[in-house]
Amino acid sequence: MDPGPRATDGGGIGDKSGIMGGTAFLRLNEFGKRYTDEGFMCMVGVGSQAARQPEGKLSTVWDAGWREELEYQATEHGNIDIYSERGADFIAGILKEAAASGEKGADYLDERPGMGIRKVYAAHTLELLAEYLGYSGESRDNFLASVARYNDLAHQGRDEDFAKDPIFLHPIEKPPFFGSVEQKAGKVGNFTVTLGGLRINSQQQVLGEDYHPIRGLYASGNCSGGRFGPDYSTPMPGVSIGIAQTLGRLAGLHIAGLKSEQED
Amino acid sequence: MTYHGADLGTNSVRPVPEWALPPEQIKDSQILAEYSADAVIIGAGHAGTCAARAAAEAGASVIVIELQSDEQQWIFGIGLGVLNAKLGLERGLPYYEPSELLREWQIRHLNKTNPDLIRQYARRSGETFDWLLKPMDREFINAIRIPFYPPPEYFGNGTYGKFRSFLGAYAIGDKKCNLKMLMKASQKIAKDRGARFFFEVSGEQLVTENGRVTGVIGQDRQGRYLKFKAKKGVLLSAGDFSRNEPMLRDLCDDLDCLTDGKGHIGGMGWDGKGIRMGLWAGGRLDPGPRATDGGGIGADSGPMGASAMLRLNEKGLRFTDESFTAVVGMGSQMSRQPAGKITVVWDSNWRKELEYQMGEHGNLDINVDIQSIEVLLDNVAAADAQGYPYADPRPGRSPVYMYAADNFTELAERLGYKEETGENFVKSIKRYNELARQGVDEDFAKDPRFLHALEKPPYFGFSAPKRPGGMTVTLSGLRINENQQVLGEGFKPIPGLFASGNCSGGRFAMDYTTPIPGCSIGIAQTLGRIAGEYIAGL
Repeated sequence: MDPGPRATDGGGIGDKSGIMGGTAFLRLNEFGKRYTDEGFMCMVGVGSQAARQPEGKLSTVWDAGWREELEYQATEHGNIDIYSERGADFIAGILKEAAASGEKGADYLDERPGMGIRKVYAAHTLELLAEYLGYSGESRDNFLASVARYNDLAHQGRDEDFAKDPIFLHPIEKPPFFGSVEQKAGKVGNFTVTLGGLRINSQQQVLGEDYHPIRGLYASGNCSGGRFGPDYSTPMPGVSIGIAQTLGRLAGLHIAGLKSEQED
Repeated sequence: MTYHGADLGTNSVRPVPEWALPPEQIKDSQILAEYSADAVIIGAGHAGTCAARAAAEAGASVIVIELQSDEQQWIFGIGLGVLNAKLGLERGLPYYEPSELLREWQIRHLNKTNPDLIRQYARRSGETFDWLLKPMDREFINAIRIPFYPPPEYFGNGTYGKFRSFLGAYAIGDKKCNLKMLMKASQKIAKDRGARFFFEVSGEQLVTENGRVTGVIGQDRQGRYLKFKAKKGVLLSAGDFSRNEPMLRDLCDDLDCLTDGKGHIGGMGWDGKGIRMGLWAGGRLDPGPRATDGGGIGADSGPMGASAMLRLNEKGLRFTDESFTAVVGMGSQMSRQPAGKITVVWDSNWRKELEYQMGEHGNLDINVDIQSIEVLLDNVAAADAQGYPYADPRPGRSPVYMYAADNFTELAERLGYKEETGENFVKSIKRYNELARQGVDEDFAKDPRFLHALEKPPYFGFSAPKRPGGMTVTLSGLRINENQQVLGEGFKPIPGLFASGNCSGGRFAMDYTTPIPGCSIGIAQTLGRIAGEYIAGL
């Protein structure tokens, strides 16, 4: 095996994100406390911290300025493509419905496998939003304190608490306020595919003991290691498939170029 | 197979490895004596000592048990790394906004370390070092050296290749000025405030009542059991698991994999007892990845340290961006090379090139090391094909022969690169020179500032065999929250139980990467102190 770390596509994410995807909006845990730099590599980086939160709910909170804020998203896996059919206009429709639905919230279908019908809530005060999202007592107080602290940090333009890039740091102060919530339970460990595998060299030959190539054996795509390390981190979304195709092609060319039983 | 703690429950799906099996419960009838305090601290290293002093200063009654003897106690380390300490600011180090270190830390660990813990380290480590220095005399303080200071001109804000480093390391590792003196001085303050230290007593198992940890049973050198009851909290600060090889192979399976399960892997630390006691009491392991200090590094770097000079593998091929977080990042690729040697190659412009090294763990401090290197390299250059022996000053290292030559082909031969690997060796250097001259490393994306052509003979080479798995200590442990409470199932805190230092997780994930060298000890002291304050305040 490749020594890894052995990444999966999504297995370490504790919060699969609601309608706002992997965008850098404020995230709060079961206790109403902020837990991460929300601008950290979108869904994958943020999700690593979500996975390390106490059991219970994980929520995302934003305000009426969301459309402008969506302009400040990196083009990573899990982020909202504002131009797509589930982009800004689709979101606007659901949020409008949420604004008219109070504590019931607005339903929408999350098309990803296993997600189903999801909810978005809207409220004209943060107190009410906290209530809709299921925060009460101490966790409700924390929720309000966390938003207030986040707004202070946003106004000063420096995130002393989590070192988020100021580009992604916008105060939540323009009603209506919105929120989505999901349970951490059952999220960690569910993913599309694993990304670790056999140890290979630059020709994609499988390496055996002491890193010596095994003659005649190659591995590519998700059978092979050395492509992803700590996570399914995506400087370009779709990298995993791009790698599989590129290196698969190269492996084919390499094998075809060998003479039979040649020392490869 | 990775043991995660849940195996001890009813939902076991995997066999419990031997190292994780709980011992038979010690009965009350076996207890010789019982003691009680607000805080009971297991282990008097960096974290435990600072916790004891802080708790005692806050007015709590404190008991510390420590496996080693008072006089002979070995305290790890030769320095520490902290941010914004008074001593450094007085001597001219820059003030850093603490969140800048937090940002760098989370990037290096891909957001898998605990920002709540690192924030406390970034904000309070300097102040903790000031506090530790309070009882120390002028002679001690004057003997503290600040490595990598003054920095070379190019240093700027510390951006180093793909990463950023901070000035804040303090060398405290000689006869007149060492970490044992520093810790013993704080132990004395704790004792003066009424803390009771029980040396030569090992922690054996925690005492749990109705889901709350209420104490620990220790064992003295005569094998007698002593019970230490805690009114407020028990702190596990008993060190790492680098000397428990089965546990190490299970929990750091990257090392098991890198070594093909063969040979010995391990370090200079402890047997994981503190972590195991926490697991037996319902604690869970931090998910990691589980870093070690050095285990993933493939080979020794030799006299040029972790400087960003060209590296070639057994086949004579280049394999990494040599400037990638110094010894740790580069070492990750060394350990993934074919069996055989790893070679560092440089030319006679090395003095200038060393100006382009940053203050990370394993790098040369040009303010002190230059002279001895000059002497060594003069000798190497004057030696014949037999080479010249270099004696690595670190313990357990035998001399390694170094070679010099006036051309690459001869250097290849002397280093043992023959035929195809010899041709590769020469080709690799020529390619490297080409990349350096064009100023863009198309092959490994090294920062151009660290990319210097080898063009002035004689050329030098140092080879060391690839041999990962050796380390000082492991750096992961029990899952803790922002107050260093040990977390059990569902990330719920276990009442009464805390962990700090190398018993705890969330501090390092990917590797022992060091935006400040000595950060691990800096964290242990800072968070140990905070844990002591917190427990005292309960």
